[in-house]
Amino acid sequence: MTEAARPRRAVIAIGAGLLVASAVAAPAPALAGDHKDILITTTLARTCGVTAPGDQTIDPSSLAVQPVGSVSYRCNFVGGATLRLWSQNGGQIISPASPSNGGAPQSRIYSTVFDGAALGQLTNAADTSAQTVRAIAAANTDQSGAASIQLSSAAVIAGAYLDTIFVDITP
Amino acid sequence: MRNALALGALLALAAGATASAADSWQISGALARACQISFDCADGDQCRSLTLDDRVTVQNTATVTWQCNYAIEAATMDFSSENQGLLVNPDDDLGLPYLATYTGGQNSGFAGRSLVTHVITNPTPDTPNVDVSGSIQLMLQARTQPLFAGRYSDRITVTITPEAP
Repeated sequence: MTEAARPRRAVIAIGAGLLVASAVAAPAPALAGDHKDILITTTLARTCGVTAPGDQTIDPSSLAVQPVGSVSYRCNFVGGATLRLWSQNGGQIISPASPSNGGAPQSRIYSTVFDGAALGQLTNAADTSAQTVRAIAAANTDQSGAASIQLSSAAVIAGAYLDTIFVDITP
Repeated sequence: MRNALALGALLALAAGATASAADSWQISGALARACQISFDCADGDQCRSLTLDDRVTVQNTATVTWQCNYAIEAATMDFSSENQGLLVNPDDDLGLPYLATYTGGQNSGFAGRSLVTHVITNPTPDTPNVDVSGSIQLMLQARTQPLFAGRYSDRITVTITPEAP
């Protein structure tokens, strides 16, 4: 028997992200049968996705609770996920400075409620964002929560007021 | 062997990573331009106490105060008379003409105009939500015919409307 035709022993183990492979050439008895199992395992990471509502219109002169849409989210597991909310203006609607509003930005603070959880005034950074833990009752199933805001004082100077709310969700 | 190593690297990535997702939406609303106006009859009688014999003195009537919730850009002020610029006595067919003046600032005023037709001014508020006041003054005009006993009156209406941005 030539070297090339000689049987080889091979051990391959793959598991939990660790691969060890080795091939060792060793002499084997001629004509002896052999088999080896190859164990393959892997893990699908937990993930969640979130979808913001479309842009929402509010009344800057109203002190009433105003709905600002529904956030939907889904995760690929059952358990809990952390949903965070923050905003570009740190929980304020702002009308930029212009000659017609007196040359100074006009702002009004608002508080936010998400699905019944009072989050107060949003911050302007993810690191300091308001958080609410969501119970994920079923994997890969859409869930949603309604968001609303309430101004602490009504706008009194004409103009366009706006803010952008950011949301993310982490398993 | 190269294929097996690539698979191993992929599995390691999947096992160690956690994913998050983010999105955003905008909330916005506009506060429309608005102006408001009020009048005050000082001493409670100034609006109806003209001296009919005085045809040379400008006589104060009401103080008219207005404001808008914006600045710099214009509004339209409209002054009109129910009797087209005449004080009218039901017993006097001729009426008594007068010239009107409004002393308000920021381009809202005018001087010595008959209200036979509307007088239009275009105030430009300096500052949002700050009152601007002026007096409606009348100067009664001479007429050759004698007046009739009784009450001469007119109703002056002032409206202010913001101009569209």
